[in-house]
Amino acid sequence: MKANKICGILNLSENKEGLQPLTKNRPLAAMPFACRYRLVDFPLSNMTNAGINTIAMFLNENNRSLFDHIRSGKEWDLNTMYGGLFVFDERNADDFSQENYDNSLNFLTKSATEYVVIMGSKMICNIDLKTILQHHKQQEADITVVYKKITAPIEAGDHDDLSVFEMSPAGQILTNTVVGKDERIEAESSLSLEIYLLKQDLLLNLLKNYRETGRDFSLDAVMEQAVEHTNANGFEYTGYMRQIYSVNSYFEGNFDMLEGSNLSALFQENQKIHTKAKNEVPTFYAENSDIKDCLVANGCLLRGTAEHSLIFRNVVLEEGADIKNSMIMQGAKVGAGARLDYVIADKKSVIAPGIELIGTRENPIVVKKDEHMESSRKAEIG
Amino acid sequence: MKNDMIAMILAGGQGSRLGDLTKTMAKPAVSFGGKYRIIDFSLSNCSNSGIDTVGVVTQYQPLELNDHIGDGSYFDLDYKSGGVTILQPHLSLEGEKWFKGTAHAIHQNVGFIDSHDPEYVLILSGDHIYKMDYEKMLDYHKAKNAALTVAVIEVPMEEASRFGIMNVDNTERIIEFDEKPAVPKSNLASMGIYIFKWSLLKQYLKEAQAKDIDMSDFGKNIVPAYLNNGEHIFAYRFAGYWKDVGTISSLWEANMEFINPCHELNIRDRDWRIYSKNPIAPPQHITKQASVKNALIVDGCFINGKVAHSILSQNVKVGENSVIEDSVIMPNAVIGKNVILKRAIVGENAIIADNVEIIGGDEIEVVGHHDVIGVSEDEG
Repeated sequence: MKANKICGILNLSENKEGLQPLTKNRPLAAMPFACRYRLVDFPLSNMTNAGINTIAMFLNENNRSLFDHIRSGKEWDLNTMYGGLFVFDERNADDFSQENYDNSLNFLTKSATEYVVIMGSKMICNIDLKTILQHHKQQEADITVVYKKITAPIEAGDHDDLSVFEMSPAGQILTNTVVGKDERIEAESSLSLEIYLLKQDLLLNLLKNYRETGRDFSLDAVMEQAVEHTNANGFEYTGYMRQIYSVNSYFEGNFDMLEGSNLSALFQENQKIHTKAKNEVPTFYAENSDIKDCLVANGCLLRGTAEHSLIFRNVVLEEGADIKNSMIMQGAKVGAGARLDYVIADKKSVIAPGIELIGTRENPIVVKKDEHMESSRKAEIG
Repeated sequence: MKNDMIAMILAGGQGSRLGDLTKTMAKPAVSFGGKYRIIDFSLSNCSNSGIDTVGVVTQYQPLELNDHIGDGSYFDLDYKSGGVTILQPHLSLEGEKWFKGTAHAIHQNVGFIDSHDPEYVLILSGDHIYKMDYEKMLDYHKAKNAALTVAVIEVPMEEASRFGIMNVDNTERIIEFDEKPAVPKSNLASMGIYIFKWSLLKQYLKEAQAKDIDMSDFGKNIVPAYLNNGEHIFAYRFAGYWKDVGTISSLWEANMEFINPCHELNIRDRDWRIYSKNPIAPPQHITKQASVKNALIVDGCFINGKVAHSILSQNVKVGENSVIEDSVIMPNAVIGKNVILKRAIVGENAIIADNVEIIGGDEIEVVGHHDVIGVSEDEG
């Protein structure tokens, strides 16, 4: 019964400091993306699309927004009689590390699956995990790690700590090098997506061994070490991918979706990305509105002008409002005649009529959640 | 637990006057207003009125309807006991139970209703666009101590002969019922919404069966029988938007009215939401060369052409240089390049190939569900 079955671990204890103030009250996984999704939708949908119905979520912070989004997991068919979603909140533990080891060992032992897949939410992608399992079995590897060959270099300062592989022609991972954020990553590098597939028994052993070293629980560290000390194999992902680590990369990732090819690559028909269903009305485009080169979600009232922008659910754009290169998040209101360029207006923020917020591509102006912005602002150049 | 009132939605009708649009689905399942299907309005009214047990009686082409309603969770009607139950005609020892009329359909489901042991039964048809608080109507029914309460709406006198007209005395008691009268005595039209005291209705249905009297239709048989026997029937006046979308032109017209955000129905009222199944689809993609004016658009649409005064349901694709005006495009339809559509309704999953022109006049043009119009240049 357990043969070929996979359980999932969503490793959501992720670094989110680069996205402040957007991540002030939400984990990285709960960051809104592409008008109607959140980052966690991608790994969660990838797992459930591959038939995984037992998923553990490891978290370490305020997650109200995340729970509100996932609820019973119904949207991902996780509200089943068996399996479902298990949450391990690391904050409340007395002995944080011990408890986490116990939790993960418990979860794995009980899940009665042969394989485990580990994913986070900071790498946006849409990946077919069934194919990876197949590949894993063909290669007879201990661990399969997903990587992407990057076409352009990633400059120092433009990324978080990342891992880069060197592989044999057969795909065996020879070296796994952590590239610090102050170093440049060359083009053609094989960048780890930090998605791991391995046998459940092996992960149990790895965790036990790591615990014996007396080190604090860190799934990242366990896997990093495992890649070096076992027969690890790389699986190349060729689809759309972006790593979210800063306001800027978040901004760029969202704007990637305005390219039809990126949008269809990430939201492909045969690998749907599921999200919380909301009962929103259709979006109304007024006679005097002018919406071009935009992604728009349901529930909006659009009376103004928008170009090259992302308009999330329930946004109100008053007459004469003019937005460009901006992200207007759920429930935000842009007053009449307001002018926005390179702005991220977070959830339920209100932009007063007539004001001007002018940011730059490198330095977008962030209007915080629930904030009422009543005076004009310009991004400082440089 | 005893139920105060349960609702029965009659959703088995074909709606033959909708032609191609109801060839493959029952009328209540027909797409409306971009995001909705016609039955969403009565189902949402039930949910918002606090009715937690709803039977949906289906018969004609129920696949689409079953799929749409599912376990009722989209309508907040997925309860452990009660919730939404789809009731289909079935065989039994007494023979076939195909529904011969509105009241007959209820008679065939006595077992279902009895299992919930309600004091009152609310009968609805699943094919009108309106918002109504049935709880208020029940309060009225109780206050009047009525055997039957019929919801009525004032229609223009010159149109009254198209409706079932209720003539009332000064206490609002119905004293006469004229089905489509040539010379109407009043303008109070029946909305086909009834609250019955269940024990009495059941008695009528049983006795009629025993004596082999035709009691298959509420309007034709039950209401007249109640009147003859002096039962207390009261009219409950409803004021507000109510539209029967039984014909192509009324369906088109109701959709066109729906575009206006100041529409009387006030679809954006968060206190009385209209629920629907929420499909998974990426956001609406409006390209650089697109133009969208005075329109309702739903997630999953890709618009590369010009859309004016129209409604586009989910996952509709509009190709380059195409023009869509005064039209309703139902879910998943694909419109090619250089297409012109005016005063048209395009059915679900229909494909309009490049360069096709479909221009309706006084009569609205209809493209049926799954129809393919024109041949694309690639294939030709």
